[in-house]
Amino acid sequence: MKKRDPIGRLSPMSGTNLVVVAAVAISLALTGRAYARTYIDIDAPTIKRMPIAVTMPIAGPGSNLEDAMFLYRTMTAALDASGYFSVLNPAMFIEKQGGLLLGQFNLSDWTDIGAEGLVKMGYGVQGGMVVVKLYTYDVVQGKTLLSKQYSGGVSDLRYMANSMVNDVIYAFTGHAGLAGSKIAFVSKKTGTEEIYAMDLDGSNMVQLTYNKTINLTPVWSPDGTRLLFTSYMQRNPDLYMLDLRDGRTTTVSRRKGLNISPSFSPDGSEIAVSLSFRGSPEIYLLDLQGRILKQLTNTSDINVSPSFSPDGGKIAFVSNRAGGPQIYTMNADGSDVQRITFNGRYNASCNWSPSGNRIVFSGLSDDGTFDIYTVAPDGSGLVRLTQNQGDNTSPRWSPDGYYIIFVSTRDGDQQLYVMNANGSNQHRLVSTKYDMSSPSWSSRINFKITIR
Amino acid sequence: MKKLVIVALSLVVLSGCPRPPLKDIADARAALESARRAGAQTYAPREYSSAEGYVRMAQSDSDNRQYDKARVNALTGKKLADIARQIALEDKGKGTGGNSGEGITGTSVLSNIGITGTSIIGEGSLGEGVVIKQLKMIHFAFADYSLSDEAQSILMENAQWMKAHPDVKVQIEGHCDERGSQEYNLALGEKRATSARDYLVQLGVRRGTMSVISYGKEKPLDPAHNEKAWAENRRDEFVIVTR
Repeated sequence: MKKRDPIGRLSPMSGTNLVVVAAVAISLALTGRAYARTYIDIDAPTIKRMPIAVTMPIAGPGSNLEDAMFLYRTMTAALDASGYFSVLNPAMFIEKQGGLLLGQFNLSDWTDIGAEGLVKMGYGVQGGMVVVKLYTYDVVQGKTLLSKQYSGGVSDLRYMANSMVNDVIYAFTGHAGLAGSKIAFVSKKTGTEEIYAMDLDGSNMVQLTYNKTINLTPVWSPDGTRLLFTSYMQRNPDLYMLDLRDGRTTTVSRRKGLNISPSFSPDGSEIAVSLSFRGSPEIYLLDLQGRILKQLTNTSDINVSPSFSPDGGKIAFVSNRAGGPQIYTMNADGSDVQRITFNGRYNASCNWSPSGNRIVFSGLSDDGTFDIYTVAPDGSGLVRLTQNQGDNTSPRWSPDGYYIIFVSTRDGDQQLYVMNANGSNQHRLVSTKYDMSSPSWSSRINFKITIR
Repeated sequence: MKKLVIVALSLVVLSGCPRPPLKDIADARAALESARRAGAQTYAPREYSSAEGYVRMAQSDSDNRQYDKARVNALTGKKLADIARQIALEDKGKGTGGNSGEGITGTSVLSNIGITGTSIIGEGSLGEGVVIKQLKMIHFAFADYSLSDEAQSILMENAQWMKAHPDVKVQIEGHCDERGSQEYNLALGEKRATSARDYLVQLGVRRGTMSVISYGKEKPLDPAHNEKAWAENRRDEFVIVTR
């Protein structure tokens, strides 16, 4: 079977190992710095989408239409999905033949249609290398926000497009975008629960496990190169690590009983996990080979779902030591346990934000459905983010902390949804006919995933 | 561009939705009904209830969209029902009692470990063990792993059978309903299984003959999203294992 990569070429997929693509060399030219001014404050409680126009890339020598369309589509889809921009319909455009540089086009052509931002691209092939010039303007002020050149091999176009999207988002918001990061998830697409990964727009989906048993809760390493997951492939819920660079799966913990709910430490050198080989499910700290460094909880109750604070000093987790499941924090050595949720009788699936100031979790609301909440690590400032939209579970932060991905049954089956950290802009990630659950969001990946 | 469309179309065809084996299940039900009319419940009770079990599994697999598994279970159920009917017709003529069905996987598993006179219901969750009528499942309240009075009396019956068959290894499988955290449910399922095991130990069953495993919310008996299904899915199953 052959599979298309997003820029229209056929590449061999099945059977053999995928070739690891060398890191993309992107050369910087001209000026590459954004203005200090923040156009969109993404920390604000409500965000007004900025109207932005994106023109079709102006074709240079050796260019082809499919690649230009790919750049255009990637840019517009990512800006729209960010929740910060409203991408204007090209049918509204007044400009017919404007140039790329300030002075080569009329600002009023853009302000007249309500645009505040403008993205222009030029595209060509020189000596076998793809060269893209990207310009971003504040058309109200008549300012150049970004002027940058990208080049690489033809097969690198996807990575170049991701860099461009991130740079445009950075120019307006002051924080790096997430293009190029991936979502790992579980689906019963083939009849049994297997782990998959895909791009943020649902493209480039790859199946990562094929053992036809039960595979659960994939979790990315901080650098995006590895996934920890629980699998019943050896007839017990054991912990495995899949290295996506070479496709190898190694056993981390096959202790008797549960080996579940793993989480990487922020530096990626340690794993917090729940093990029950001594009786009840307790949280342990392991090294990457699965050796126990320390037992962190010691109760006769349930202790699961450890999640590190970004400085690695604390761990949030779920315990039923007070009756039902509630969220607790403790120091990373197991000391100073504090309960932080008190509303409702069932709060679980905690995940500590990359910015450190919020913990997201799923709790049973008074109306009998599960909803997503965030709370400060000291238990103050509880905020409910979903309401009257089915059951909402398994929340995880994006690596930049600006979004939350979660599972919802609002459209029937379990599907993946994304919202801004304040609960705004909730939308379904991808339209599929099969269930999706247990999402995890990677940092930006700039290598090709290898499957065995 | 045209190539892309063709590739996309062929992918749709290749991954096209498999259909539920409605006809196979209907055929199995019909066979079951004619076995019942032939008196199979009296003359071939073991074969009949096994057939019933397979048909039930076929339906639940089909509801879970496990169509291949559903088809195999439906065919097995039909075959067993036909056998049960034939035994019933023959024995009714002779005026004798029931017969033991040979060639049934579960039976040979059990006879290998020296058990006779047992009604097989079906395979365990991952097909690693055998579910028998004598070991009943128990149920739990939401997010709870304490044993109700009803669960305790069922466990007393189970304990009697297990003590009478000390060589049989039993795996206790803890399950949850679909609500709430996947990770918490895995832990909850294990607590449910260990609650039952600890009680059985108190009742005199040797600890070494039992193993526990949690499937969390991953193996519902009833895939529906309502209170009735949830109550049925919050359970411990007791499965005979031979490995």
